[in-house]
Amino acid sequence: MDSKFGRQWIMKRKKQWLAFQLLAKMCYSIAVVTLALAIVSYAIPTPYWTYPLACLAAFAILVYATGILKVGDKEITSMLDVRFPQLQHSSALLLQPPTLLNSLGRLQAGRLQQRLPDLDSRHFVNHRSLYKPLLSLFLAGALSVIIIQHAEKQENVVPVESGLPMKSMPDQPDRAAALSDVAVVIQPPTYTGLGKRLQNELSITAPIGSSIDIQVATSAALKQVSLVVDGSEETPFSAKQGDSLQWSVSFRPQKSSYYQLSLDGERSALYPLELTPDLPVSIQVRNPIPYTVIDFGFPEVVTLDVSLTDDYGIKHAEIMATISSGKGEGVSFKSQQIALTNDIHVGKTAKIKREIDLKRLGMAAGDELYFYVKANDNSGQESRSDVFVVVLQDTSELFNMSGLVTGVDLVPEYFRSQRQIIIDTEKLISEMDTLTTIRAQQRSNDLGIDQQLLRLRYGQFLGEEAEDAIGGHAGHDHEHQGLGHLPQEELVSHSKLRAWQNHDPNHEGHENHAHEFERGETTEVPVDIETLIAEMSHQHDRAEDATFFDAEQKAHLKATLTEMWNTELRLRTYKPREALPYAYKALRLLKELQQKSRAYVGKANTKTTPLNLEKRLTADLDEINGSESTHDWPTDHAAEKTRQQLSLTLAYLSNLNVVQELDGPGASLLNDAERSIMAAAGDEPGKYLNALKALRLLKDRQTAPSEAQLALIEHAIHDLLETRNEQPTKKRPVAKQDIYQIYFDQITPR
Amino acid sequence: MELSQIFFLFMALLALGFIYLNEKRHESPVPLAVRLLAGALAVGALLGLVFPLSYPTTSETATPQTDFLIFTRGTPEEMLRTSTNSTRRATTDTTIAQRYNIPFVRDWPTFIEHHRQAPFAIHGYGIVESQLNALDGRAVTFHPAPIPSGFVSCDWVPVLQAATRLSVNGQYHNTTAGDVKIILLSASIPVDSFSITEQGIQPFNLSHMPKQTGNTLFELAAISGIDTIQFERLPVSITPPRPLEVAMLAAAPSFEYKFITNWFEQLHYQITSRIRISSGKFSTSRINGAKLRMGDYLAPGALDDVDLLIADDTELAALSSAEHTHLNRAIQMGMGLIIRLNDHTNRSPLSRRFVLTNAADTTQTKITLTANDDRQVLPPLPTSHPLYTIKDSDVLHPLFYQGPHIVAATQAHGLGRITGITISNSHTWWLQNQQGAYTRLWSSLVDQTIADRRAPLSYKHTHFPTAYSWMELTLESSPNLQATIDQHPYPMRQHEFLPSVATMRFWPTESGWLSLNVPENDDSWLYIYRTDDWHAARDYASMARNEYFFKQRKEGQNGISEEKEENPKKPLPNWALFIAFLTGSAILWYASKDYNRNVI
Repeated sequence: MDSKFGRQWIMKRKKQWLAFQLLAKMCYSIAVVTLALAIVSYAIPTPYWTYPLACLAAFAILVYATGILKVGDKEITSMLDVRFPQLQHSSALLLQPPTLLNSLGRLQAGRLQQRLPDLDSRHFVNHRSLYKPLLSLFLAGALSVIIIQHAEKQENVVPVESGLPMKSMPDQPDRAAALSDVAVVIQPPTYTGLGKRLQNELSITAPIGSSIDIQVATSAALKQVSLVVDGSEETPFSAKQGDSLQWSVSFRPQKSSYYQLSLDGERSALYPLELTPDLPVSIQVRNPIPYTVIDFGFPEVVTLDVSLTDDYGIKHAEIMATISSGKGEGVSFKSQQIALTNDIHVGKTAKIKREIDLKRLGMAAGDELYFYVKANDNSGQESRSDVFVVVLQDTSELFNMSGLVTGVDLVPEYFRSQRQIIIDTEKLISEMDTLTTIRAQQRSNDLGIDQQLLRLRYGQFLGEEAEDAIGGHAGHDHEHQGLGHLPQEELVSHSKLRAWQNHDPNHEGHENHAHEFERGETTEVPVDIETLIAEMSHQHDRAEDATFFDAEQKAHLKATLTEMWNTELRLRTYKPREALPYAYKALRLLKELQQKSRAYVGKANTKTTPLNLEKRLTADLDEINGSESTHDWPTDHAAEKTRQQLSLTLAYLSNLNVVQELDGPGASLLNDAERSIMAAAGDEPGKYLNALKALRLLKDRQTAPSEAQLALIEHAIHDLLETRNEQPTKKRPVAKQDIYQIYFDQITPR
Repeated sequence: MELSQIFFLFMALLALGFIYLNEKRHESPVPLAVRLLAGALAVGALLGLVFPLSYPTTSETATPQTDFLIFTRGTPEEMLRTSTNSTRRATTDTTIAQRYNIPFVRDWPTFIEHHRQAPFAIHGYGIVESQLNALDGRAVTFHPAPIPSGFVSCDWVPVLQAATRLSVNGQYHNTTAGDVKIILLSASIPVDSFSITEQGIQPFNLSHMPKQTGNTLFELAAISGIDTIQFERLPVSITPPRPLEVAMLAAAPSFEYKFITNWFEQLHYQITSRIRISSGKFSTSRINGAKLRMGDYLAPGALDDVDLLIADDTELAALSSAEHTHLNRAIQMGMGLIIRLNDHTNRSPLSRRFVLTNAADTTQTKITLTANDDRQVLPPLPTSHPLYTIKDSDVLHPLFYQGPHIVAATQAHGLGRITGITISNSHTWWLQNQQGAYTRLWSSLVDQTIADRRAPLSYKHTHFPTAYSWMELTLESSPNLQATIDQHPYPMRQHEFLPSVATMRFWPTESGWLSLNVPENDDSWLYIYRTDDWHAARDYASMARNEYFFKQRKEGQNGISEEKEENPKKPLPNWALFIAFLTGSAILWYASKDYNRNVI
């Protein structure tokens, strides 16, 4: 065997060992660099090209520090001796030339060379030695990914500070060519409770009062970058630390508009800047109704049911109440504020339900409460509800005769009768303790009969000649007329009573339904379809319609009769105390009916010029002279010209769909239209900005006009032009002498 | 016979004489009779070339003819497929010619001349008018194609003044199973629509107040569900509004005059008003630069330039007879007069043309007016006075009705018109914020009363003219024989009998707007449609024209006794005469060979 074989074998093992070591070091250096740069990029943006450089540097350092490259053949043989006992710690002999060895040395070397082929090199270096470095690399990589992802999340919520990496803006067809990255930070006002928002779009929608920070990165160095609002107002961007690639500007817009970026004088496309207004608190009062009258005997409590809504938050709400007491010159007002803030919980909406005790407010009979709900939102904007009126009925007022004495008394005895019934009922109540039960019931019944007679007489005004229909409660509308709150047994008894009173005992089949009545099988709803149709349809022969009253008066009178019926029912069932509130209500309704029939005209002092009696009836017209005047209708010529240009442009655009080619006059028209749309876009960017963009694209003649593009412009101009009213025109020519033509047509055979 | 022909005849006779003498002197193996015959043939052929000969054709009349099938556009495919090569057929449509390999008729007059005796059977949407006229008395049957689906007719005013409503009326042939919605689009925005719920030909009506000025293309779309079935363009030339010159004569100041004046002022009309404020005393005003001065007396010629006079009947009655004469003359020259009729008594001569009656129901507090032209019902108008109505007559054209009664009507007077109205409180609409009703009433009254003294250019042209097809333009009431279309002059042909009518034909090569300029007239615009525009309407019109033509011809033939035409003569072809001449000459030459031999 060749003596060189041994040396070659050792050199081969050395190369293997070196390769594995370098690979391991490479893994370690990549792991370290990845982890380190991931941590660094958390705070400082790190370009990706730094990664390979850093890896190389780390690798070099590692290799140098570990001294791998310094490992010589002797070190290798030592390692081989350790790993392979078969070498008997004499592998170094194989490196020496045989001539330098003594005989024993040569013998040993010869033996070793024979053993070398049997040695498994995997015992010296194998892939297991790479496990650790690869594991380290994997762990470091995973950690880096987690760190970078976390850093990106932070970017979206935290403000963009100087030097933080900016995400690339999604491709937009019309963005300025030199822009590579864009970041817009919107800081809404504190009171809105909204956090900072970062976006990569240049179309901005923000709450009014927001502070806006636009940061742009350009692909080439620029001298000047500025923000152009509404095509005229220019604000320069400031470069970051002398860097001409990154620019930023902060501003607080006051109104919706559109803007452009000017990059070294070259303007970008238009971007909308829409500010959403902060609306005041919306107040909806569900209860009470605008005018509420609380009658005698009813609880003096008003239930307030309000819902408040705001877009950012409600800060404060209260009821502003004013109580008016007294009459005429003695009227006095007392204002109170009832805070509702406790009912408002944190949020944008609040539902408040509260009972207002009128007695606790110090109201007495006859007093009126005027109140409205006031609310402030977080920005301090105040809003108010309508004014609501609650009146506590004054029973003494109902007995006031002044209206009757001075006014036209249509049916005086009826009003007196209702008052008399109340007086008598009150007297009966006061004497109830001293009377026997039978006597009290008899008096109560008598009063009920009086009430019935009164009701019948009023019913004549509604055309109700038979008692059956009186009061509009002929078994069909108790719910509407105020009996809905009565217990069912009362309704039934009332029904029975009425049915039996109007009953003709001699008619056919009387026996049958007399039993039915006794069984109590009566119904409160009309059962046959004809009755239902009659109720729903318009009938000309209805007695109710054959009166002089209008619909409102009739409804009022019906309500009065219902209350009279309620009084009568309770008087007849010996409950005079319960009947009194209904009697008062009936009286109040009657008074209102009486007041409605009157017209009141306030007195006003007039001073007329005294007549010159000497000139009167002399037919002297000398001093009457004719006049001649000349004037012109004021015309806004500029506006009129703009309108004409726009109407011409609209006509021109309709042809452009077919022609597909912009000519000189058309371009001039589009220039004028651009000015008008630009002005409109300043006020309503959301509505007109796209049209403005389309118009500019069309003017630039970059592409053939598309239908959608033209439609956008046409819509905008159509909206800008107001619709004209019809106007007379000369349609018929005067001198059209077509008689010859007609004659010729007549004599010419066809 | 012309002199030259006599000369030729003489020369021929001389030649014949020479040949006879020459052939008789010589001897030849060719018999003399043959040589003489050959000489006669040669001279005869020569004469035939100078005097064309014809011979009667009898070949086609000898046997009964089958129909010659003419396929035009719209011929059902079934018909085209079943027609075989053996049948005689031709087409006027290039598509049919290419697809079914059917001979295409390039020159219609030659074609019908060639097939003179064959009865034609025309299938499809029919042939054009010039082809119809060229048919003469030929036996033709027309087999119309099924009615095309879509817009089969559509009419609108092609020239509008601004602030005038565009009204589109037409017919749609619905062949779909469902509903079709017709939509009018202005500036790509739907502005009016009409639903067609039934199948068959259904009328539709759309209207819109345009915002455009100038040459505009509106669009008409037929939509079924979400599919657009048809899309057509409506060219309209919208001219700027022309202000009127208005005069007013009021017997007393009133709100009615105040509101009319205000409205006319806003429209930039020149208004001169004279309001009587006392006996013989007037208040006059001139608005928007009106030039007319109306003093206490209406001078002759004062109203010559006035388009419209609005006057109270009472004030007209107070005019002197001389003023009446001037007023009469102005109306007869074309001025419009609106008389506010308000009384039975003390009526002016002009207002007596309207017979007034009391309305039957004088207690009503609100009146509802209905327009006569489009039956539009205006909102109720409160009234506190008894309403007079106008009695109908043959010379009246009612404008507005209250129930069955006429409250506004117009009638002609010379070249002008007189309109009477009995409503005196139309301004109440304005107070009730119903300006639309007010402007509708007064626009209609003024439109029907006034006339344009400067007559616009009146012309007619081919319906839906398209590029690459002849367009015929007829100018009416124009003595000019020179028109310019898109700056290219075109000569006009004056009508045979009507000197003011001139026609021209031209061949547009591209679609779009073309300017039409006729001297002493304003510029007008023509729109040339694309070849695929309004297909259904053009086909339907062609079919109707063909049907009408053949129907009329049939009625005419029934009335006139049929004239039997003699067998037509066909000219003898020149080549045959030439061959005959050569043959004759050749025989004579062959015979002359022997002559030379004899001469030694």
